[in-house]
Formats: sequence, C-alpha cells, structure tokens
Amino acid sequence: MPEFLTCTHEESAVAMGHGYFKVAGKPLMTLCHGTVGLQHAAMAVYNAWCDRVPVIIVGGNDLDAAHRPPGVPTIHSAQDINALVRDFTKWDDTPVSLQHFAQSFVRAYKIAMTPPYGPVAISLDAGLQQEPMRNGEKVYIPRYVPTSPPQGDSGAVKEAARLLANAQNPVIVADRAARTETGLRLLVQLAELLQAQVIDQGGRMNFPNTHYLRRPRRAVSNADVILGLELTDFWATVNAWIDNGEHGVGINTSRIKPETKLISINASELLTKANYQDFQRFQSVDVSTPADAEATLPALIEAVKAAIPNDRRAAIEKRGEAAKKAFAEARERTRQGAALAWDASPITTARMSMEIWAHIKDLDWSLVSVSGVGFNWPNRLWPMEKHYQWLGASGGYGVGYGAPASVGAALANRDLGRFSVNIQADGDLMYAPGVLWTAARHNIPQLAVMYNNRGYHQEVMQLQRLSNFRNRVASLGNDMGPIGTSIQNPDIEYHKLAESMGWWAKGPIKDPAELGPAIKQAVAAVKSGQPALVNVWTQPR
Amino acid sequence: MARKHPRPDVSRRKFLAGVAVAGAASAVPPAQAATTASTSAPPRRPSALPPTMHVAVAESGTPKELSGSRIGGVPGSDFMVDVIKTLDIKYLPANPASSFRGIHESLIN
Repeated sequence: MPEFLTCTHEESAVAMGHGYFKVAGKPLMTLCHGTVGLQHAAMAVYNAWCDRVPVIIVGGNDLDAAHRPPGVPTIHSAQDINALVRDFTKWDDTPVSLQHFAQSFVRAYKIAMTPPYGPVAISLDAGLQQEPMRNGEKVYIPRYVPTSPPQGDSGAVKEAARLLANAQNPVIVADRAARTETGLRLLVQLAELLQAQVIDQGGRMNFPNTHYLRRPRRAVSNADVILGLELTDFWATVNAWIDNGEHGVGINTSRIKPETKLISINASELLTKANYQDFQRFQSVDVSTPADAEATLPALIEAVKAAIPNDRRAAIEKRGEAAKKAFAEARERTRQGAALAWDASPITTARMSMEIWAHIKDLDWSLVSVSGVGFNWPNRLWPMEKHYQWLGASGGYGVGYGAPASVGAALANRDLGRFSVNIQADGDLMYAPGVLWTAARHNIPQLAVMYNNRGYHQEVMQLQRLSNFRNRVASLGNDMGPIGTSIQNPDIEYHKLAESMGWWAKGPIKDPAELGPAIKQAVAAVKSGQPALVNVWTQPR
Repeated sequence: MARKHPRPDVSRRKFLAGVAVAGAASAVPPAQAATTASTSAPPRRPSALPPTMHVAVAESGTPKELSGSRIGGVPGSDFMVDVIKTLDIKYLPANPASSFRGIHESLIN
C-alpha cells in the first residue's frame, strides 16, 4: 500500500516523484484534484516529460453533469481533463468502469516504465470511486510484466561500430544514456575499448568524472566520428548559437569539422509529439538509431570489438596516453580556478562546494540537486563515480523543480541509507517552499545548503548583456541587478523559513570562515534524522 | 461516468441531501420555544443550547440508512486500491482534494 505523503502543492508532489525515480528507479503515483490541481501540477509534469521520467498522475474529476455537486466541484470538473497535459504525457485515460480502471492503471504503469520513460495520467470519475461495485460484478487485475527496452537494429549497430573502430579521434557524447549503474559501467567499457574521449552532458550520471577519458564539451571540435547517446539536443552538441548577433538575432556556427560522421542512439525519437518543442532543432546524422542507449550498448560493444582492425590497436592505445595527459592538465586548471577569491564575502560557489565536500566525503553521499543552475563546481571538484551521486537536471528547466525533486530523491536515499546533499537555489525554493514542511513532517532528512545569490542571476546577465548590446546601462533601481531580477530588499531569511517548518537551520552565513562549522552542525542534525538548512550568501555564480 | 446500470437502494447524493435537510429542520424548534415561553420576566438568553436528543443523534449517531451494508457493497475505490497495490508503489505524495476523496478514503482505511 503506498504511504500517503502530505504535500502543500501539486507541483511539489509530481516533482517529488520525479526526484524519487532518479534514485530508486521506481515510479511514484500522485493524486491530483480536478482542473485546478492538474493545472498546478502541469509544469512539473512537463519537466518529467522532458527528462524522460515516469510519474503516475491520478486525477479526480466529476463527469456526470446531472448528478455532481453544483458550485465548486462543477467548476473543477472538465469534459476531457487530461487534455491539459496530453501534449506532454506518454498516455492518458478516463476509465468508465472498474474493470476499465484496472486495465488502464496497469497499462499506464507499463507505458510509463518502458524506455523512453514518461509521465502518464489517469482521470478518476468521482462517481466511479464512490459508488459500490455491482453485486456479482466480476473484475480481475491484469498481471504487470515489464516491457523490454528497445534495442538498436543490428545493421545500424554494425555500421556504428565500423565507423567508431576506424576513427582517428572518436568522441562519445552522453546525456541520458545511463539509466542505471549498469549503463555507467557499459559506457566506461565502450570508452576504454576505443580509448575514446567522453563528454558527459549531465542529463544523468553517465561517466565517472575521475576517469581520464572524460573531456569538456569543446572536445567535439577535433572528432572525426561522434557517437551521441540519448542527447536532448544533438544540434547544439555540434553547433553553436551566438546570442545578439550583428542584426540583433542569434548566429549559428558549426563546432565540428564538415566531414565528421555523426551517430545517434536515442529512444526519444520513438516519442515525438508536435506541440511543445522539446525535440529541439533538426540535426541530420549518418547513423540514426531510435533505440534505448543502455540496452543497445552491450551489442555495440561486441560489434566494436569485432570491428577493430589489428593494425589500429597501437594507435588506439596511444590515444589513451594523450587523454591521460589532457585530463591531468584540466584537473590542475580546475583546482586553480576554484581557488580564485577563496576568502571573498559573499562566499564563492567553489569555496562553498569544497566546504560541503569536507563534511560529506567520508559518507555514502548523493547530490540530489541541480548544482548546474549557475555553477557546476561539485561536478568538477567532487569525485563522482556512482550513478546516484549526480541525478541530472529538471529536463524542462521549469524553475521550482529543485526543492521538491531533492526531497523526493532524499526519500529514496533515506530508504537506502544514503546521505542526501542539496545545493538549493533561492529563486527555485520560493516557488513552493511548503515542500520543506513535507520533508520535516515525513522525516526525510537532507543537508540543504542555500545557494543564496539574492537574484535571478541568469536573467540579471541576460538583461545586462542586452542593455550593453543596445548601448545602454541596465537600470538597477536600488538593487544589485537590473530592475525585476533581484530577490533582496528585504532579504529572505531562508533559515527562518526552514526552521518554521521543522528544519534545523542556521544563517545567514556571509563569512567563509563560519561556513565549515555551520555545515558540520547541520550534518550532525541530518545524521540524527532531521532535515537541515544552512543559508549561505554567495557570489552570483 | 454515465450511469448505465441500476444502482443499489441508497444513492449517495440523495442520502447526503436528506441528512442536511433533517438536521436543519430539527435544530430550530427548541430555540424558538426558549424565547417565546415566558412573557413577564424573560430569562437570560443562553448563548447556546444543548442539543435535543434528536439533534444529537442526527449529528453524531449513525443514521439508520447508513447502518449495516450502508452502501450496498464494496466501494469502487477499494477495488482501485487493490489494483494499485499489485504494482508495489511505495509512496503517494499528494495534496488532498474532494474530487478524489473516494480513493483517498480507501487508501487510508
């Protein structure tokens, strides 16, 4: 029996299911009120859709216009309620009998859990819920059998292997390739077999950041073959778009050599809808395989082994030596970059990341937040080798995902005995801070360290840059950023907000010397089972 | 849903409407009696009166229609929960709402 967790917003409930799945690999279901509840949930459903995550949304609705209560219940009823989310769910249904419900629910679960995963919606008529089963009504529950993930066509796999095995400089780019720990291990195996550089775009934890074959995004420029695995945006992987070009619009430029061969393995091609544009720009590729990358990797690895010519083995080994040198140099540059303005106040994001690291490095930790909104120091500085140490982003970039997804992920980690760390952005938390209460109410511990830069900093930069482009100075009013982009005057006391909802909390911390001791105390609170928040004033990025 | 099949004797909607009307009607007479009984020295009017036995039963007892097999069988949402249970879903984060109270009640009981 699912345990009911009280949420203060439908968006929080769906995002909790989103975060939970990325740790547990199992979906949660949520119940959602008619019309207004589903409207509240919609952005989180879109995030789950874009991020290929299953969430089972069961919504209430009262269909019978002749019998439903007048007034509010009728205002909240709809003729086709799932139309609200149909463009960004894999499937939905409105069962009209109990047997219909049994089929629909098992079918919905099965569809949601078939890669590419995605959210599904079942609308429950209020009358169907409340009225009794008819005397003697025979109903059955269909058996659930998981669907195997779609594997790449053998001809396409063979052709991909031939290109990779004969490449001078193959590069693997992975976004949502590793659905599980197995996917991560398989990707390491393929990369080592080819001594191919790997760019991890971070949709999931695809490749250890401690591995010498890991390279930054610009590594595509010298590739002669690029293998893209479950990429959100293949076009932007091999092209660049420069904002505010000569005529005030963006300029497109290629990042790669014109003769570079492109291979795509991407299950999302099996799930393209028309309205919302999450399928990105069209990119022509040389081998296009609409299949699940993790399920296709074993066959691809075997095909590559068979395809490597004997006279290429020495050259492949040599590639590895060059990669080790480049990796060591990049690590050193990262360390030097992280040390910049080490003692600054407000605190730099690199210093904050390392102060957290000092207190979690000996624990079985899981980063349950999107540190990449604004900075990616943990991904660059913390050794990440296990699939649950990085969970990827929201998918749809719908802000407000971070806090509830972190609580959902922390719930899964709690049951697995892991320590959850959330670097919590200020703007994100203010969408629906009530999820803090849900975490305390249901004993879901996590260490939340506020990345409190007191602004919507991406928008700060967008406006400043556009003003510069137009030869103007962005008007600040009395704030730090352009009017409409700051979250200050008054400053939000996130530690008090968290404390009021049952969290251990401390702050605001502006002096870097005070940060380590505060995190130490917070870690102790989390170990005792309580969620804890440290409100840190940080540099913008 | 369209109700195609004849339902058992008690309709949930008619039943709820009946309870509301009965409660309102029976609450009025004792209050009127208290204010009209005396003409010379009106006693201090109490701010609240204890409920009559009839009202007390209507408000807190089990109405006759509800006793026994009150809804004429297993609620549909109980079966829905049986279906959900087969899929081993561990948690259900949700904000409560009237449109799914049927399944909510089945889930927690």
